[in-house]
This record gives sequence, C-alpha cells and structure tokens, in this order.
Amino acid sequence: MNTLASLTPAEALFIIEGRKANLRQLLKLTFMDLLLKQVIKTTMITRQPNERDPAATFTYIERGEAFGTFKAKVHEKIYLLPFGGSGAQPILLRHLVKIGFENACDKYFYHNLVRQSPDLKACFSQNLFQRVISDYSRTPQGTKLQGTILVERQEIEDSLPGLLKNDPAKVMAIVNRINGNIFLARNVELDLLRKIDLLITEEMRKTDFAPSTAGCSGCSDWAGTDYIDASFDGHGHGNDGDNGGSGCSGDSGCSGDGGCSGCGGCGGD
Amino acid sequence: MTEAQATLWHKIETFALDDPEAAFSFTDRLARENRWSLSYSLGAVAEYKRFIFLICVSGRSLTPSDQVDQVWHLHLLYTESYWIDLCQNTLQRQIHHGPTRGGQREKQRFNNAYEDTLAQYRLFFNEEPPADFWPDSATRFSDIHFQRVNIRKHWVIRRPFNFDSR
Repeated sequence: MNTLASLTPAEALFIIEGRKANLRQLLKLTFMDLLLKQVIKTTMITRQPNERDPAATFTYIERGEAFGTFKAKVHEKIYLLPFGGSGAQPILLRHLVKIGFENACDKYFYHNLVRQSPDLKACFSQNLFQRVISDYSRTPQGTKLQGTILVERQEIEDSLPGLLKNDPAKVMAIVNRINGNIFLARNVELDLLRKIDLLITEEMRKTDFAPSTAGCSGCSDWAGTDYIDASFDGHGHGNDGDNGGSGCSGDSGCSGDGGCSGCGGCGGD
Repeated sequence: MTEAQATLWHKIETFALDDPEAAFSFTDRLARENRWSLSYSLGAVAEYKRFIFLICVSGRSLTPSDQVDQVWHLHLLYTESYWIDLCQNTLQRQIHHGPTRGGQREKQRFNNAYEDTLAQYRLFFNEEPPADFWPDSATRFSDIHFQRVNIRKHWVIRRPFNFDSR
C-alpha cells in the first residue's frame, strides 16, 4: 500500500477513473481525508440562535491538530481557505461542504486541480491540440500507476473483511496509513467513515434543494456551474449600476427581501 | 482590550446570525443577494461582528465599509435577530443605522468616520483591516454604484474599461 499512502484519495480516484471521476465522490473523499489527517475536525456546538427556539446541537468544522503544519495540495485547499488567516471560528458543516463545491467550480475545473498535483504531473500529457480543447492523455507512467493502485485497492478489499473480524487494530493501522484512501475500497464497513459519508451526502442533498425566494434568481446549486462566476475564492462583487448614493431606508421598515444597496455612507452609534 | 471588552467581544463573536437548522440561512442569503461566494460572505459576517464590537467599545460614531454595510442591512431585515437577540440580549444597547442625509458636509463626515473606524480597528484588534473587506477611503466612497437588477430579464456585462472617471 505504499502507493496509496503517498497519494490523496482524490488523486488515486482520478488516476483510476480519469475524466470519468465523479465530482461529488472526489470532494467527499478529499473532505474525509482531511478529517482523518486531522487537518480539520468536527466539533459539536450547542446553539440557541434565539430565545424563541430551544437550544440544539449542530456539527461544525474547525481547524484540527495538524492544520498548522499541513502542506495542502491545491485540490485540498478548497476546504481549507476559510480557516486561513484569522479564520479560526468553527464553520457549519453544511457551509463548509458548500464552500468546497463553490471553490471546485465544476468537474473539469476540479479535475484540472487534481491533475496538476506534483505527484500526478508525469501521469498525463497534453499536445497542442489537446491544450486548445482542454483534453489530455494518460502517459505510460500513468497507466502503470493506475495498475498499481488497482492492485493495492484489491488487496485492501480482500483483506479487510477478515481483519475487521479478527484484528481491528490492524484495520486502524491501515486507516492511519492510507487515510481517506480507505474509501476507495468498495467493501469498507467502518462505522466512523460510513457516518461521515452519510453526513456529507445528506448535507449535499439538503443544499441541493435550498428554497428560492420570490424575486431572486441565480440560486445556489451544488453543481454550481451556472451560478458561480467567481472561481477559487473569488469574490464576485456584483452589478455595476450607475446611480449610487442615497441608498438605505433607515429603520422605517422596508418590505420585500432585497435589502438595500449602494449606500454612499451610513453610520452607527 | 480590557477584560470587559474581551468578554463582550466573545459574546459578539459567538453570536449566531445563521440558524443552523435553516435550509437557507442568513449567510446563504447574503451570498446570493450580493453574488458573493459563501466563503467571502462568512468573512464579511466576521468583519460585521468586529464593526459592531467597535461601535460598542469606541464610544464614537463609526462607518462601515460597503461590504460590512451589506451585512448590516440584511441583518436589519431579520428584525428579531437584530433588535432582540443582538441588541437587547447580547449588547444590552441599541445600535441604530443612520443613512447619509446627502450633501458635501455629510460626505466629509462619513469619510472622517470611516478613517476613524479603520483606526479603531487597528487599535482594538491590533491588525490591519483586511483590504478585501475594508478598502481605503477613496475606494470605499467611489465604488458605490450598485442597483438591483433582475437578472432573469437583464444581462449584466462588465465594462471593458471605466468610461466614467469620477
């Protein structure tokens, strides 16, 4: 399992499946890998956003023990950017998953991020024509690596059921060694990993159907290709109207859900 | 920061604008209405909290950046969260939002107040206000030409260069 231990699960999956690699799967694997490496960690926080509702406990994500020393690859940064600088506040799991999807932009953009990893550079090539149409080919080295990973994955799949029954400690040793790559095995039954997988899938589903209120469009979407015009941590400041200035309506109580914008100056004391 | 100020800051920093159970939270809405990424919106919310703290501890009239102001505007729409949960229960004081009354004198007043806000930020947080949320005064008061646009009916195309040098 030396090869799997040296790659992130997104890299391994991309080597196996190439352009067929599923975006959600890549993002889930990356998220779980960062959790297992303790770059980020889950924390349960009890919140009572207002006194009208009872307090409840929710899953947040914050910096993990390894955050400070971890050297993230570009495709891993999609989840780590919000924790950079002074961003030490925990983030709702649902929000972080969404941020990951936003930063990934779309399948092809994220594939490129994974493909540019220093560990995969020799595995793919592009001729001039392919550059124009954003295509690429697998090199012989890439094909060889694909074979190695498939063999290692098969080894894990073959040995795991027996080890789970007879030697759970060894299973944990394998997980500690290959981290999120354990998810590449198709017969993994570890409770923790399954729970995380379910959690993320559920979060994805929820956000997929976030309601769109009247009068607004361009609603967020997991695939995000229509909505997200600001790539990788871009800010996408909006429209460029031509009549700024007076702006907000103070505390007289405006209706509708658009809010005010283009304020030329307001204060608070 | 004194101990009392640190306590207040902790209360403001941990104040939850987002209802974790809401399928479409405050920050989701902020991101959508401004076409910001969620990541940027979370950052803007964090800066808004810093601004509210500065108002409480500086004893001055302060002016937010446009980005922070957008968070403030939206929070004012969530009236229970703003007036009851934040002002009444967390700050134990009211913070009113006062738009400009227009004119040169107001312009100068808000310009000075914004400079003062940046100075207070440095003083209390001991760091430079991040430029992507707190631009310099000239940018703050010139990049304000925003309007609501129905993007189902209109295309919004970026100008190749700025025709208007004002």
